[in-house]
Amino acid sequence: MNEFEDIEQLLKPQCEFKASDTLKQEVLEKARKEVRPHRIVKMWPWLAAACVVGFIIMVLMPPETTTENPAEGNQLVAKVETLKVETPKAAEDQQAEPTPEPTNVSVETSQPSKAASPRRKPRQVMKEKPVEAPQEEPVQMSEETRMELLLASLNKDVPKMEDIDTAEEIRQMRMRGERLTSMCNF
Amino acid sequence: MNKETEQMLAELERIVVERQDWLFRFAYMRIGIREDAEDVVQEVLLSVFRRLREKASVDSVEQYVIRAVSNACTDYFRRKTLTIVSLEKAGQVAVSVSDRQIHDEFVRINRLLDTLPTEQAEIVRLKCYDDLTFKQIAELQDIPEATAKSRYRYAIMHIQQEIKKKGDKI
Repeated sequence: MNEFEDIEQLLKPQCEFKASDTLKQEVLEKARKEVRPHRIVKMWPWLAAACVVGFIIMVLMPPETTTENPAEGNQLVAKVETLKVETPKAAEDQQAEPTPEPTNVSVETSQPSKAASPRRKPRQVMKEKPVEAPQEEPVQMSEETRMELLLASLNKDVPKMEDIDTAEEIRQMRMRGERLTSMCNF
Repeated sequence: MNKETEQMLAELERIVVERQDWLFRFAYMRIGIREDAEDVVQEVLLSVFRRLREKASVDSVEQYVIRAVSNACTDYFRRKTLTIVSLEKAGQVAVSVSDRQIHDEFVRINRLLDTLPTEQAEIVRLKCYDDLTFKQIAELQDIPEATAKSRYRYAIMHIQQEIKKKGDKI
């Protein structure tokens, strides 16, 4: 029995086994690294989804210039009607005179070309009118033509109220100028 | 880093401090190369950390450590393309004094267990060198406790006979 215990004693460790000092640091460092990436992995799909949603919203958002509000359209119609009431005399004068042929501008607006962009800003269209009108159209447009023009512009692009106001002011100024020149001729 | 993770890291640090030398001895006595043994220990400790993250209880972690290091050593020999090196030549690898000491110990034990069948030699290592109980050995080896005891007794008797034959040369 003693011999048995002696053999057991012989098989016991005779020296100390020490792992290197860096082992503990390396293990803890690797463990910390394993913990860290998980948070990023959880975050990035949400970030990517948010970016995609933002992009889709930007693409699908309507442009600033278009007005889909029906109330605004009604206001424009009312404005057109007031214009019609205010200028009956001018219409009568124009009926007496031979009706001028429709200008390039009116043709373009009443029958819009297919090449023209549907989202063209109305401000740009309205700015061109007062510049071209005095050169090609010394006499005022007839009431019908003007109505057609306005209705066509309503159908195509809804112009802003400010643009109509400025157009009206220009028209009135032009009428005053004509009266003054007629008076000077007398 | 949240509080729970810090607690897990503290728990891992405690296990590393308590068990790293034991694990290193376990791995070294089977592998015989310091660097490889330490790699195995690292693997085992990291797997313990993963186990902690799965909210395993501490008692099962203790048992898990023993099984993990045993499996890691088995895997090491499966992965590694073995090159046969004689024990004398292998001693030249050890550089520092402590490394030479542990390598001499490795050589001494392996010479004693050299003539034993693999299963018996492993049970002797687990019992004498790694201080495991017969119950733990039986669980680890997936054998009945009685089988572990009988294999151990046969192994000791065999070593005794071998020593007698060599005339106490060791």
